[in-house]
Amino acid sequence: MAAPMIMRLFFAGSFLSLISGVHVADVFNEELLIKPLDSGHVYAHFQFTTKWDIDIQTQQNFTHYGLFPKSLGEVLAKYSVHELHLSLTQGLWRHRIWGYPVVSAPPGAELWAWFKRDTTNIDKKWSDLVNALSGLFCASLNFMDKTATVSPKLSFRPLGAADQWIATNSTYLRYAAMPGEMVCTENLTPWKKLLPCDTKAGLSTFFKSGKLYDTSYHSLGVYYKSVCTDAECDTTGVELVQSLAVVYEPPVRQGGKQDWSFKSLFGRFLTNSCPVAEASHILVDITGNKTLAYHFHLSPPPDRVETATRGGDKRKFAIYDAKKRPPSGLNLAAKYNRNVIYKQPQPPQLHAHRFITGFGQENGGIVTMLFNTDPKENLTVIYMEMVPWFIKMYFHTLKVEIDGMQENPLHIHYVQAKDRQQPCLMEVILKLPANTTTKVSIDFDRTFLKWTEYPPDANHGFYVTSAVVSTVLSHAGQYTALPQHSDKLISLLSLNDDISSEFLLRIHTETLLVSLPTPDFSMPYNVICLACTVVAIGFGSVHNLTTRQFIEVDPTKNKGFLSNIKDKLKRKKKETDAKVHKEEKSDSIEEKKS
Amino acid sequence: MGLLTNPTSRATIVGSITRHNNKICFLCYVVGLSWFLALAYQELNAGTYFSENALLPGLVRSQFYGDSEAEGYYSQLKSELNKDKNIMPVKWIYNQFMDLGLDVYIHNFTFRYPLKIFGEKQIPGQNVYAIMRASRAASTEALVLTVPFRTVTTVMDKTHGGLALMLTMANHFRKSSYWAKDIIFVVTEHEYIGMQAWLDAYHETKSELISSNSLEGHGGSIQAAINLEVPTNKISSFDFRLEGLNGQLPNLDLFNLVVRISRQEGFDVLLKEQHDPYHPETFEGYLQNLKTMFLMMWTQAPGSANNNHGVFLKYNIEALTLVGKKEKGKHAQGYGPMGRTVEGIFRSLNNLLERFHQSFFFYLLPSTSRYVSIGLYMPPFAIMVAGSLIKAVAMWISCTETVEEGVSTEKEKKETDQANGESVQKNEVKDHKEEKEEERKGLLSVIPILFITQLFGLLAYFSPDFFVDLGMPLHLHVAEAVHYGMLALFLSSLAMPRFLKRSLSEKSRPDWKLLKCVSLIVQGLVLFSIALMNISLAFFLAAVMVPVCVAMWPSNNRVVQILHASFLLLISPFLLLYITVVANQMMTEKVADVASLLVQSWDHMKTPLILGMVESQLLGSWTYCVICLGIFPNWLAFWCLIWIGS
Repeated sequence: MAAPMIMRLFFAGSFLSLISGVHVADVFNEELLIKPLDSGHVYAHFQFTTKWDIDIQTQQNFTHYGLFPKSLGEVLAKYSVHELHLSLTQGLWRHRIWGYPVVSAPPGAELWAWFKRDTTNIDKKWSDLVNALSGLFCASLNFMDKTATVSPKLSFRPLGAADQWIATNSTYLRYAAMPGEMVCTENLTPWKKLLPCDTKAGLSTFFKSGKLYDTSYHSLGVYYKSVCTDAECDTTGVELVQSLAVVYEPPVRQGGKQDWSFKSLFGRFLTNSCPVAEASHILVDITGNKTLAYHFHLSPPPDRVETATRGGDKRKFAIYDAKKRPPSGLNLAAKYNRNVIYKQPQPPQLHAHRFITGFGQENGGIVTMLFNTDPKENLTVIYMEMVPWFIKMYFHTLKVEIDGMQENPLHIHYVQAKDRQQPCLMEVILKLPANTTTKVSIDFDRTFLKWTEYPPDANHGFYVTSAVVSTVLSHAGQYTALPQHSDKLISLLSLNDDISSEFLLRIHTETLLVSLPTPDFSMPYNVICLACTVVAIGFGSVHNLTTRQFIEVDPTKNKGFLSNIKDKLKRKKKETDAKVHKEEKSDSIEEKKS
Repeated sequence: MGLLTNPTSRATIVGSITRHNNKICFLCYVVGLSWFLALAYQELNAGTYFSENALLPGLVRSQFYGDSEAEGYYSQLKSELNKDKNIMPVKWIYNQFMDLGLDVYIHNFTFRYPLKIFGEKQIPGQNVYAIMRASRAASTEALVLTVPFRTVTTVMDKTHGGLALMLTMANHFRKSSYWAKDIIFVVTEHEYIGMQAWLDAYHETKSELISSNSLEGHGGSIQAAINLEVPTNKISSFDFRLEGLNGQLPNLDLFNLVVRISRQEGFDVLLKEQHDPYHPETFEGYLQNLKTMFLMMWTQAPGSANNNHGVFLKYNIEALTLVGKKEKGKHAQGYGPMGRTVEGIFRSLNNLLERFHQSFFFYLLPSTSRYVSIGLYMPPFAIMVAGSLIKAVAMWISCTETVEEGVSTEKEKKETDQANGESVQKNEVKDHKEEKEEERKGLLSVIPILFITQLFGLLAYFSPDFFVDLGMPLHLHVAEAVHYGMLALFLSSLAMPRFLKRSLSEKSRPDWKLLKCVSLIVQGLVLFSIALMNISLAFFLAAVMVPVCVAMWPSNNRVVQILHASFLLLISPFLLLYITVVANQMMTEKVADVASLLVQSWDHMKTPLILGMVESQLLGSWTYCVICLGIFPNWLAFWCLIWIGS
């Protein structure tokens, strides 16, 4: 396998070296996976993979760019990023009825990054990084400051090639999420500019915001990691995966039919493929298309149909190669023979449901229900909860109940929140027995913030980000994520040997909206008025009473202004009289003397 | 500033209070009462307006034209209901929501009535709820549309029309992608008990009598709820119900919104089944407004949950009920305008960025377009109750004077005597003279009486269970047992002064003035506290209690004493309840014969009594508690007062 790879790289490299004069080895792939879901939804997952054969550790490698986006590359190099996972999502992935996505993402923005070894002052680097990314993606990621950032110990591991040191040392990891982040076209535009073909050619011509955002779920992703370039992992390269996931619901607008086509989903035909792309594939998951009563017909017919078995789960894919299509344009369409029949969903092996309990403005609780629907297999999961500091968690109230019986978690990693400094982080390892429902509950108090700390829409409430549940499944029912060592969707097909492997699964639960006690912001004026009145009346009279000296005055001696003057005059008169008297006296003395 | 510190001006105030307190009290009461009633006049209240700009009511064009679909649901539902007339077609409703592609769940609950009304029997119930997931948000916020399910055989107004409308709206809402809040459709069984069970489960709050399964699906924090009670497929007007548990009201903005949209779709808007007057500035218009306001206060005062919306308010969720009415001689409209009304309301609520926090939470409504805010109704109420506080001050002063009198000269005493023109005051002063040699009794002397009255209050609060147990061997019905038990307790409390007289020696008996002073202050305190939550209850209590209690004194004249006693009896909580029932009976039913009215009311009296207890235990209503622990002991103190001094 190494030989053709090198050959290909050689060709690509020599072609590009004519332009740049430098040996740049990068490969770009564009892919689209369409999966019609049983619930009547249609899931479309775009994936654009750029693989670049450079050593991530060498800084000067990040000076000459080919297909890899320069704007992002410079940021990643400058802030010594080893691995980066950024997702911007609108809506919630509903595991119970949709199964698992290729990449799980919570509502809003989520960012986690590993920094390179020997990076000094990681906190500073992280804060610079989020500010840079914030500008790059037009998202308010800059609010991911230290009050919203944690370093989870158990839940996250590097997904790419990494040395042993990094895998066990979470001090190099930073994780933050912004559940309230609104994702829209202003995020899509900078994201698609990172693609080599922008939206000029290939699958990316489908990115018209009008259609993409009129959906049940929408998620943008940027994933950067270091990968092995050979089987022994002696040399490594870097890989950038940009993904866009959309879930449509055709039956609601089409009178109950699940029919879909490129035209109806994306508003246009596919007329070409990205010229710099090595391959351009469209995969349609046709596994569910088996029963005669309820099936769809694909037009045009696929180039080939392949079956992949993965962890005991057999899946069938129809594959279209956009490179081989005539220029007249491809409008891939599926026509169903009957209306969608709604029924109770078949939930996947592990799914979760989280909600707020209690009401009022004093206290409350967070409850997460974890469902293990597998009849035989026990699961060990890591449950991670990150809660902002202004929601005061009571660790002693953490309770784990399995089908109503209280159980102790296997392990707990808990970091206490500090006011205005760091959020609360809780990672709990739980064992979910087969076919059980586990209830994890914890109580909290709502705090009264300083009045300047409230956001403009204080009465909207405050978000608590999704809890992250990570586990390893042993069979792959409804599992669509890519295997860890591969980078392309097409590699899902070559997984026939993937029987014994383990499937890393990460799911994100619902975000929560917690209303905190909020002052009436028109109140300061009223308070000032009231306080002034109270001070004037209450304080004034008390002050008067305490500081005034009470002297008994003879009421008969009622002296006015005039009488005062008279008094003074009198006094003067007396004084002069006294003087005269004295003088007279002295005179008389003198007289006597004389 | 010098007003209170200056001995001369202080003396003037004290003097004028002692001399004129009766006139002042009378004036306060009359002014307060008439001012309060005058608030219904257009010039004295304000027009409603939208405080929350985000609502943008009626800005969008309605898109609902599913009349025929709704009619289809309506006829299907009717045939479904006639299959089994006594149960809720849970499966059918579940399937309808399922066919629309919503997340549907069934919520099972059981509850037990307090006081062993049905023994220890657990009554099962089922709510069906469906969640429409909003595409613009991650299920962080939700709106609720509820319909209480009523069988064909119900004695109340039917709600089938509303259920059909709800199903149609669910289908219509799903087609749009602009929703930013999940919409939860709830069909409840057992009226508000089902709603309470569902809300308890939604918030995972525990309730002693209601036990329910935890919910499988949630939709984030609920921002607002609308309860639909539409009897048929054709209505001419909407009647709005606002009054909730403990007299809580929804935010005025929500009410304004609902009124605006209903009017826009061509419905007549009613409040307490009353139309807005055409000429509110005329006297007839004023009377109409006053009637509407009075009826609203009459409903609010008991603090009952009334409809499904009433229990939402406790959970800090703004909610109200829309009752569809078909009035004779009015043009009835079908599902089209009804649906557009609901659509308009929900689209406006969908616009909300923050919880309802603007506008008013405390108000009275003389019509659908006028309101009396807390700032307007509090001053007249305060003036009304001020009488009792002024009298308390006067009592306090005359208490202290009794002591001072001994020191002061005979001449001064005579002056005061002459100044007190009114016979009442003379009497009091004469009493003073008799007692003046006595030592002044401290505040502590009042404590035993207050303590015993409070004990009676506690007894009344906790005894119903005991009465039920007592009535069991006598084969008394629960309501009857409680009724007679309460009557017995009440009668025994009347004998309290006699026991007090016997057990307390002449010396340890408190000065009646001091007792009256303390009791009046407690009364003012209780009334003001109630007014903060439920102005209607406070107003009605103040209107009857203040004038009687202020005028009470222990007289040696047998006739006067009996007159006092009978007045005081009339305002005793037990008889007050009876009078209320009589008044209610007169308002709702035409009973020609006075005797039969009184007898019927006596019979009907059990219902509010038992309802108050049931609601206090099932839903957490405070009214029963407030009456038992606030009003009753206070009244009893006055009862002791008129007997003990003489």
